[in-house]
Amino acid sequence: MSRPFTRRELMQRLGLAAASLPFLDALGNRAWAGPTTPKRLVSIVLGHGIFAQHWLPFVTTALPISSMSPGSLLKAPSEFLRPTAFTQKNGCTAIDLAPFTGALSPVFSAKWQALKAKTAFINNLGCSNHIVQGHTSTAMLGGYKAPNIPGDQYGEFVGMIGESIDVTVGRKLNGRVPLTLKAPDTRDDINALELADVRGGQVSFRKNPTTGQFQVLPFLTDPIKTWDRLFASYMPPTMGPMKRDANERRVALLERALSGVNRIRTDQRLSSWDRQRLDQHASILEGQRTNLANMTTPVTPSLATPPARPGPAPMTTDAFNEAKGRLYRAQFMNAAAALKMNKEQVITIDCGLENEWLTEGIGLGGSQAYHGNAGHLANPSLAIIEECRKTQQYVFDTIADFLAELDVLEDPATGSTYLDNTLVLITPEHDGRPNGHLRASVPSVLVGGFGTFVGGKSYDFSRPQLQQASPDCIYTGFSHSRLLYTVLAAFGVTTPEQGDLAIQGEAQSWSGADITDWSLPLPGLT
Amino acid sequence: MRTFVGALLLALCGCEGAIAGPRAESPADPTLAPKVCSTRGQGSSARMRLLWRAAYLTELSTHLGAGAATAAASVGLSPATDKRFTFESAGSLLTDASIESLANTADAVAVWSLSSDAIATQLYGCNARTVTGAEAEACFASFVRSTGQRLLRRAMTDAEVDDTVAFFRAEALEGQSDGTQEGFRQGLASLLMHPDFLWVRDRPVGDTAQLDAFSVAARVSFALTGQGPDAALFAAADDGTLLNDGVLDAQVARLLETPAARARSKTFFRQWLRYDGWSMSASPAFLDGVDATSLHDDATAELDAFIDDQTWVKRAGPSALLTSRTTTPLTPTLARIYEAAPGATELPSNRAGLLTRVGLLASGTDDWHVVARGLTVAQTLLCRDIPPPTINVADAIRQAEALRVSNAERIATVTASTSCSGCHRVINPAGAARSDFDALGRFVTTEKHYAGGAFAFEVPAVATADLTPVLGKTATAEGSVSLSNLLSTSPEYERCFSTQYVRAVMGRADSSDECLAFDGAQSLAQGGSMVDAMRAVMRSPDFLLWKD
Repeated sequence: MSRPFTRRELMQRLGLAAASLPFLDALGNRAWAGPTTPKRLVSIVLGHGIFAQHWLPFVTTALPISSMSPGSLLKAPSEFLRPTAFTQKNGCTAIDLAPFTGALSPVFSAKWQALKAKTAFINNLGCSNHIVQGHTSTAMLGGYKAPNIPGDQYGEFVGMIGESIDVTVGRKLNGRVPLTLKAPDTRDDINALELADVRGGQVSFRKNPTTGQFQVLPFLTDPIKTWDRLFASYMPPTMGPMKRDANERRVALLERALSGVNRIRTDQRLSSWDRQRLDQHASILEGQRTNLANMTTPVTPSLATPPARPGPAPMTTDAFNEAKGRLYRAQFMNAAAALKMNKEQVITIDCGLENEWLTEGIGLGGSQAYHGNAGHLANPSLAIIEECRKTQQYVFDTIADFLAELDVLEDPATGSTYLDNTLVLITPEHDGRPNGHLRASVPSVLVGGFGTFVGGKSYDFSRPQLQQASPDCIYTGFSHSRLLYTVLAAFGVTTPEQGDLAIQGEAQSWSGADITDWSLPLPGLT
Repeated sequence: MRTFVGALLLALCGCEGAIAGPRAESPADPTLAPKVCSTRGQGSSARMRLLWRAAYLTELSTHLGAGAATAAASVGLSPATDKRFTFESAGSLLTDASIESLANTADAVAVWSLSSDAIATQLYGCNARTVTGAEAEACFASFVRSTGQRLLRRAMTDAEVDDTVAFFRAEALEGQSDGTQEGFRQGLASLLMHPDFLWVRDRPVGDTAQLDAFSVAARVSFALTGQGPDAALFAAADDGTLLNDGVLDAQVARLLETPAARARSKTFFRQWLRYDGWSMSASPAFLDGVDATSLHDDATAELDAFIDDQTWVKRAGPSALLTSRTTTPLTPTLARIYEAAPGATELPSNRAGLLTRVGLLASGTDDWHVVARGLTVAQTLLCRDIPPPTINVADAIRQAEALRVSNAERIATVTASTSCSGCHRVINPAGAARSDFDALGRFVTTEKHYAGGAFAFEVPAVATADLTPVLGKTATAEGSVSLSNLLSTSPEYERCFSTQYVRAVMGRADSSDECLAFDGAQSLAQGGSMVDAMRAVMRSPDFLLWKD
């Protein structure tokens, strides 16, 4: 049964509907929130960006990488990030993935074929202040609290919710700081972890002093025993639960007011005039209370199913990459285990700088190793770009394996899988231009959580009318924050109550977008 | 401009023969002002009314601090103005939107109450931002017993206080990340959403017809000051002495001497006489060099001050409002219109009282209408029951304006039919007698007409009118001063003053208030002042009785 709208929500949607008129054909018949609410959230943070040509789903042959000059990569992504399969209709155009039976893109291999019905590729979302220092997804998906985020970078989302969405959902679901499974970045990391594993499956974890988040480094031994051991000695710290949802607060207030009215109605001598007005007063209070109360959907964790062991490490080109790959893959499998054991409902997988694999010709070691990847090269060669493609295909293959690991039966009564009940949001840090750190057109992937989201499609949320001529101010699409808002709403977080609302003012400086733009769900996605 | 068309719509035609309506006492005496008190001892109907905007904000300011009213206003407290809370506002119902607005406002005020250590400490008596546990509960309980009771305008039982604290406790737990702040936030908001805060409600004592002391206190206080009971009045209600002999009288007398009572009376007079409801759009040709930029404000201020002086300083009766020539020092613009010296404090002899002042003469346009001026006399000052018209008024107006004759002749022509004459035999002469002033309030002997901002034609200004149908006795007015003098001696005018006052303070036009108006009028008939009449209304026995 669809939950009823409140008037406020209805008004918001009416506003949205008005704004969405040009692409009404893209809106389905589904209600905004479906009958189910995801039980878990996994946010996968990918460091740096993805070359646009690699990302483009199902246009493998349309834009052969070899045919492009390196200089053309510097184009604003909106110019080439729109798959040719789209019929552009001024934003929010979705196409069905079913006809694409091969690899969906240069980095989405055939492994994604089995998952595509539960996957939504989301293209051309932007951020308002995207010019420099694009740690967007890291901040929004997991890892930073509002006060630690420079306002000029993350104003639009921080203004709305004030903290990364994993923290917010963690507050909502279990009142605990979410787990962050941290990928190893450096040789030292890898050496330490390998050594720890050799010594008997030690688990390395640490509390991020800045964010308060509980970071777990990869472990390679039996994840069930390891998680049990870990949580026996150290649980993720509790945090103040969510600042109270405004709807819940209002419901309590209305109930209290109703109680006062009813006390007068039942206990006291009233004139007929007064009784009529109190009856009406009570009726309105009751109506508003009911509408708001019905917006809250309880979340019930399910029982655990033992996870499978991690599979064999994939092929890599040297020992470093092989060791890193093993740990990297283990981290995803550990995450799957934790989810299936219901050890945690909210997990952030921080993939680190996934371009930071040792790629021949880019640079090895030191700061150069740390940042000397393709995303920071002004004029990468096609050979290097191809190396990056292989790395990113590996990353997405690993993610596909992780998703497949979750796509096993959880609830026999409904036939839903763990993946069906888990919303997985994958977002790179910024868009696909090299040396850019730009966020004008951030690609994202949503998987699972169905009953709420419409999968099996690729969406284009570009809004050409919002593009600005200045290369410093390219606002190519709907706000990336709306994707995050959409995700939060799926978990019943519908009000921008969190965080420091004083930062909100920055969102009002957007060019071409009004303040309501970032606080609405994306059209057609649900 | 004044809403002439609206006035015409209300008044042009509709009653045949004598003015008579369902509320009139008899066809021969169609006034809403009672001559008798036929319901003595039956009380005044208990009809709860919503706090109107100004009263709501004042209550917040009084009991929580000025910052609370600011916080409330900042979230768009509905209604945006008090316009709907005028004479007959008590019929207003809550709506979905107003409940939402009130809840938003309550929450905004509650958030403000916790916005700084200083505010929280001053308001709650403890630092509600940091206090926890039993200390927090004790602090909130103390707040409820003091400020909470004042907000609800009645005493709270121990059980009720306990219940409120239990709500505080539960909400504090719900708002875990904010500790007990959530309890304070929700606790205060719940008081502001309590029906006994939002509604001004009359409660009887047990099964009797006697209003309880808190209800009497609220009735008196809102009537006289537009606010809830102050500390002294609340204390008298709380200790049960308010209804003792002489105590209520003393409280009424005390309240009548407060600045709030004077402010409240200004609201009443503005609502009654509607002298501030116009704006200037007259043509330069008509203005003829008069700088009308601030004329509305000057004229409104003049009448505010004049009425305040007559009511509260000179303690005059309502007749003085129609006859006195005193004024505040005239501004240059008013002086030019009045043909007096700037700074003068007395009007020339061709003016006297309200009806000859700019505030009640200016239309804001190049023209004035007999019907509008006539209604001011018949409906506003004499409480004549004028039903709405039944003809096509727009056609009638076009027909009238096509005639190149005086305003009085125009309206006489178009209302000559039987269907119109019943009302207009009263309205028309009352308006025609005011033809000695133009649409700006200038004294004239010729009536100039303008069309499209340019002079069109002129006719002699004839302000002689037979007022027999207006006053119910043989009388002829020779202009506005003469008209005012005749009205000032009319018992009907005094009764109407009392009726209008009761309607204003009770927020309704209700037949059960007949005896209140009668008692006020009796005071005036015995030579009492307007303030005496106000006091007489409060002392009316029926004012203290509950009636379904």
